[in-house]
Amino acid sequence: MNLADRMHVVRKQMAAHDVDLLIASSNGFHALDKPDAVTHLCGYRSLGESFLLVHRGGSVNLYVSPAGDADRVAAYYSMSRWSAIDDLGGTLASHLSHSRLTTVRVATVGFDSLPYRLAERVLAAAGDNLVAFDSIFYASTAQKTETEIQRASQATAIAEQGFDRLIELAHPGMTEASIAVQLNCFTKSLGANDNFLMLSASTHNSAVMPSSSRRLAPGDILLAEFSPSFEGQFSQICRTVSCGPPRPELQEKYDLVKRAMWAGIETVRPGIAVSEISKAVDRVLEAAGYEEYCRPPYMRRRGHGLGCGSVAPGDIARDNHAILEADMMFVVHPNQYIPEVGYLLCGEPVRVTATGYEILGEQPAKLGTIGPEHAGCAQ
Amino acid sequence: MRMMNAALLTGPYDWDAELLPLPEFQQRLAQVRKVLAEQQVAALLVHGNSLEYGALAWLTGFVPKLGPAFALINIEDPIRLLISGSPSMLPAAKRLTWIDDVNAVGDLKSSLTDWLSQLRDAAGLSVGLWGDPLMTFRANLAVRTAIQRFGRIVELHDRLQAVRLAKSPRERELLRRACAILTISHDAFLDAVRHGCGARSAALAAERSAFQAGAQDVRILASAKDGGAPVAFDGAVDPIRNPLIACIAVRFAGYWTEGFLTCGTNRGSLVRAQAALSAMLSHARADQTFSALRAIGEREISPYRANRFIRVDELDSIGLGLDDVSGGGSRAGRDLKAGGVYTLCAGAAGEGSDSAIVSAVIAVDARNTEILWPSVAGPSDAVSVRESQ
Repeated sequence: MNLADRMHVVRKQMAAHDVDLLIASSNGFHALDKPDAVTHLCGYRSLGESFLLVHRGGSVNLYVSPAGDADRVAAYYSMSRWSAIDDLGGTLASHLSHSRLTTVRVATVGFDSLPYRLAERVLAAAGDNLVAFDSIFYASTAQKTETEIQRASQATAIAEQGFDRLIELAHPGMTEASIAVQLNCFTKSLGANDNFLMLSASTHNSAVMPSSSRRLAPGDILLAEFSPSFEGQFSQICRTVSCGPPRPELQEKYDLVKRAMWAGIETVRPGIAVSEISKAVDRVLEAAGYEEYCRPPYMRRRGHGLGCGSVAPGDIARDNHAILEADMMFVVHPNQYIPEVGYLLCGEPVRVTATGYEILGEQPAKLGTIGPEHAGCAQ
Repeated sequence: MRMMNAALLTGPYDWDAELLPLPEFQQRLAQVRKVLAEQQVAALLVHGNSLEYGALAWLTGFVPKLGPAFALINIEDPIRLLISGSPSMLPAAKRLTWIDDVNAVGDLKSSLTDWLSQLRDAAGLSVGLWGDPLMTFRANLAVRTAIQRFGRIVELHDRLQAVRLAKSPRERELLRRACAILTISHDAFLDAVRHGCGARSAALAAERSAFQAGAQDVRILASAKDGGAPVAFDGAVDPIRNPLIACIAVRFAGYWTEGFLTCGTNRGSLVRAQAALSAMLSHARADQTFSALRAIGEREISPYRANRFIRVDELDSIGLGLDDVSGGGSRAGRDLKAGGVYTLCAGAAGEGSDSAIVSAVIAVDARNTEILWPSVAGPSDAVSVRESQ
C-alpha cells in the first residue's frame, strides 16, 4: 500500500457513490488521535488550513495556506499541482464557483473540524449537491502505507529511547513540565517532529494529565504517554514509573494491568471486531475484581488509532465494531484506575499482520523505577 | 509568522500569581463587562482552542491543551470555565487559571443550555461571542443552536479584541522578559550555525536555550532552501543553508514575541534589509500607518526587491496570534496605536538566493517608541530611536 494505492481506493469509492469531486480538508492541527484528510491522501502536513480537491476521473489540486508555506511544499512534497495562498477561502470559493458544480455531486471530508467561517464559505460555493464523506473515506482507507508503518516504527523507537531518558533524568524536585520539556527536546534531537507527551505524577493518580508545575516527590507514581511523531506519523507507548522502590502492591497491580494489555494484544488479527480487544482486556481486570472500574467514569477506551492522517480503526472500545484489517495500526493501552494504587499506564503500539499482530516496539512495558539515589535532588 | 501547531503544549503553563496577579485579571474582566453593558449584552461566551486562545487566555489565564474551552461570563456572577478532557483531568486544568468554577464541557450544547437557562431573564437574551473566528464548524453549530433557543447572538470579537490591544505596564514587562529570552535563543541559533550546524540542529539549540531561560514554548521556522523564507521543519534532515533565514517565536508567562534573523554569507540583501528596518524604526510612532512605514522600508530596499516580509504586524501576543493565524488580510489601512506592541519586518531579495529578513519588536506610546527586541544590532538602536523623537 502506498499513497497512490490509497488514492485509487478513494476514486473507486467516489465512483461507487456517484461523487464527482471530493474536497478533503485539514485545519492544520496534526494530532495523535484526530484525523487529517489532506495528510492522509497526499502526505502534506499543512501549516495553516488546506484543501485537496480530487476530481473523480482526473486532476488532484492542493491548496495550502499561508502563502509563505510555498517553499516547504516545493522542498518536501512531490505534488504536481498546488497553490500556496493566504486567502484560502476566497480562492477556493472562486475556483468552485467557476467550476459549474450545479450538476455534480460534491463530497467533503473533515469540514467539521475547520474554522466555521472558512467551512461555510467553501460549502456555499460547492453547490447544493453535497454529501459528507468522512465515514466512507476513512473506512475504505484504514490500512497504513508501508512508509507510514516504517515511520511509526521509527517513532516507537524514539519513544522507547525517550522512556530510557526519562529514567535517567527524572528525580524528585523536578517539575513535571521541566521533565516533559527536556524529553521533548530529546525526542526532537532523535528526529521526532512532534510529541504528544502527557506526563504527570501523584501518589494516587486519577488519570494521566498534561504536565504541570507540580514537583516530583518520593513515593510518587509518574505516568507518561510517549507519543512522538516521525515525519508526521505518530506512535505511542504508555509507561508507569515508581519514584523510589515500588511498593509490592504497586508491582502486583502493574503486573495485572500488563497481563490485561497482553490479553488484548493477543486477540489482534484480521477479521475480528475492535470490541474484542477491549473485551479481552476487561476480562482480565474483571476476573481480578475490578469490573466497576472497567466502565465509565473510570474507563472509556483501551487504546486508539494512530494519526496523523487516518486514526482508523478508532477507539479500542466495547462499542467499536469495526473489523480489523491487515496493516491497521493502533495502541492497546489498558490504562486502568485501580483503587488501591490509582491510575496505571501500560500500552504498546501494534500493527495487524496477515495472520495476527506485530508489536512495533522492542522494549515491552514494565514498571520503571527512579532510583533512590536521586531522592532529595532538586532542580 | 504562523507556526506549526504542537500536538500538546508541555511547558510551564500553571497560573503564576506573581507574574500575573489576580487584580490584573479583575481589571480585564471589568473592561469586558463595561463593553457588555455598552452593547446591552447580558452574557458573553469566550472561545479558545489549542490553535487560537488569545481572548480566553487574556481573560482567564487558561490555555486549552486538549480541545476547545469556553469562558461563560455575565454581568455579575463569577466566570465559569468549560474545558475539554475528562472530569478526572480537572486537577491539572485548574492549575492553569485563576477561575474557581472549572468543569469538563461534556456535551457542549447541553452545557451551554444549562448555563443560559440559569441566567436571569433568560428569554430574549443577547449573548456575545468572542474568540469565535477559529471555532470549528461543529462547535459553532452547537453554540449557535444553544444560544438561539434563548435569544440572539451579538458578534463582539472585533470590539473586544480592541480592548486588549493596548498593553498594561505589567504586560509590557512580561513582553520585555519574553524578548530577553528571544535574544538568548537567537544567540544560541547563531552560535550553532557558526559552529557548522545545520538548520534543524541550530533550531534545537535555540529551543533548548529558550526553555532553559524560562520559556513556556518555542517555535522555530527556517529556510528550506538557500535564502528561502522560513518554513516548518519536515523530517529529520539537517540542511546547511546559505543564507539561512529563521523566525523564532518565544512565549513567556503567556506572552509571545518573535524575531527574524538572517545568517550566512553577508550579501547586499542583508545590508538593505537592515537599512529598511532602521528607517522604519525611526518613523515608528503612534498614528503612523502601516502602509506609510512599509513605503519607507521599500524605499530603502531599492534597488533590491522588497519581499513579502516587509510589513508591520500587530503583535497579538497571547495565543498563536502571531501574524496571520486569524486569516491574514490587508492591514494597509491600520496605524500604530499608543499602547500597542508591534513587529516590524524588513525583507530584501536580490539575485538568486541573495535574500534577508530582519525584524524588531516595538512598544508604542503616545510620545515614545521603545524597541523591545532588535535583530539589527545592540541596544544602541533603542537609544537612537528614542533620541530622534
